[in-house]
Amino acid sequence: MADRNVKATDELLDRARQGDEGAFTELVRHHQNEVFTLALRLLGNYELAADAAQETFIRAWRALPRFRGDAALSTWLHRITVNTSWTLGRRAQRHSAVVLDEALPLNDDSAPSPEASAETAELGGRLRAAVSELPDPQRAVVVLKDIYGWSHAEVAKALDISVTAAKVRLHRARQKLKEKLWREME
Amino acid sequence: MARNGVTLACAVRSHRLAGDPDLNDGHIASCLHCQVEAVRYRTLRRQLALLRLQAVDAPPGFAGVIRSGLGEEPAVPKKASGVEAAVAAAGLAAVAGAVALWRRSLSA
Repeated sequence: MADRNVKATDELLDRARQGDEGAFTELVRHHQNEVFTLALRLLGNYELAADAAQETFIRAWRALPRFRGDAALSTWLHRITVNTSWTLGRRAQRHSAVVLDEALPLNDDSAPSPEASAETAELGGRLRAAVSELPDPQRAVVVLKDIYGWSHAEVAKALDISVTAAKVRLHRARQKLKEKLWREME
Repeated sequence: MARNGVTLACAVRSHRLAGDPDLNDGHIASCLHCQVEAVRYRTLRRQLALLRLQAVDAPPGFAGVIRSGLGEEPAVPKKASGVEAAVAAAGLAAVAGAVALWRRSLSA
């Protein structure tokens, strides 16, 4: 089943590389939610995230002939999403203060485990809000490292900062999140 | 010097636990405050990792919007058709001829 999916994706990729818009649109459908979610986590703003996701796919379409498949398509799209979100975020900040969206409709793909308690769900909800309230540079590092599991080196490269700076930002962000979450509970 | 049972050693450990929630040493092993801190950081990391599984739906009609924008953004440079290539070649030949005539007129 997984092999068939990979094959189907490879075929779509090949056709999209030849300029087949239908095949590319199909790839967009497969990846749109993950790209949009990453942009939303990085930017904390629904409208801006929609713009970033749109720009990501347009950039991907332009760069597709150069995509050799060294990394998975989703990994490649994630990198473009980070670059695009970072650029749009900075541009938006220059023009106006970014308004943070608090209650976002979430589509939980994970099967709820039997031991998942109301307390855990509540903690998750407060954590999402706390992450969106972090300053942009700290939020980006937490999202990429702790949510998406990137290495320190990958984070540093994507954000054009040193590995040390990435670690320091992560450290501060975690401290803030921990303090915010448990201060409210106490 | 302890305040509410929290010592300087606790503050140092709290700082380190932000980087590595699995850190353990003699102080942490014997300090309830630091053990609570460690549990909180581990919980935080676990909850953050869980956010990866929570997808947010892209706006309705998203793929359609992308597709409508693709026409203006060719991924693959369009290949010239036979007629277009012939017209381009004829154009080039005419320009080359004109340049040759102009040079001859200059040297005459």
